[in-house]
Amino acid sequence: MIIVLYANTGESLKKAFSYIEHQHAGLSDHVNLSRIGDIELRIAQLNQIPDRKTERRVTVVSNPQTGRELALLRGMGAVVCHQYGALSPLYTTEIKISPLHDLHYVPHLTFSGLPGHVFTVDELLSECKVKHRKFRQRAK
Amino acid sequence: MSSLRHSHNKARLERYFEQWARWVHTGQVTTAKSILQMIMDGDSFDRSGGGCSPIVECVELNIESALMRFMVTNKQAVTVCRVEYGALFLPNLPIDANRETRALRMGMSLRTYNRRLQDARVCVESSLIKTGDL
Repeated sequence: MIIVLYANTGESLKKAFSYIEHQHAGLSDHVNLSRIGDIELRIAQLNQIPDRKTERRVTVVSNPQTGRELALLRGMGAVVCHQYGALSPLYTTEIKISPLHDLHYVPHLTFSGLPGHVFTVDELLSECKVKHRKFRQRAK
Repeated sequence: MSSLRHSHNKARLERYFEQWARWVHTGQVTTAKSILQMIMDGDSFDRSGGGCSPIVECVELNIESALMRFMVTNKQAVTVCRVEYGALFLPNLPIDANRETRALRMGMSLRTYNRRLQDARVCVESSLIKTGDL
């Protein structure tokens, strides 16, 4: 299963990923694309993500910068998650939020007063698994 | 003060749910009475001992009947409640599985699981308040 995480800060990303890593000990990977400048190399790296079908292995892709990468990941059945709060300028040009398929989250386990569509990290992981299962059933 | 009472009620409700889950599997309510308790209740020792009649007024039965009533309108919430407290075991699922695993096993997300559980708890709680158990 691939989860695309958009986080406003590195700390938020670390918090969210550490929870996922804790839940899937030894079966989680983190693909950080921010250090690779060339888009072709980034796409090649995304194509190499192994074992996309099972829920047991979780690959977290953090902050893809272009619409092309995002489209590729969506095609692979990745669940795209955006951090709730102020959006970066990238959202006006490259990234489009799909209101029906994308999820919004806060990088905490408990948070009071959240809108109904925003998930905490534990709820987010569960929701991603349900969405991934639906995607797999549709693909069959 | 009200929050203290609320947390006290919550703890009692949890205890009642655990009693109910045990009762679902054993099918009995513990009726052991001490001699002092029998004297206080005004019971006679002359009766023929050993015989036992089914107990019809207990919190376990009240919870079960509340859930049966709620099942008409929200069957899934009742199933979630039964699974959460161990009154119903899902096949191939460890007893100590966490909520997320249980939710996924039942084909729902954690948020849906929590919401349905809360619905069932509220229903049972209001029913127990009416019957005077809580």
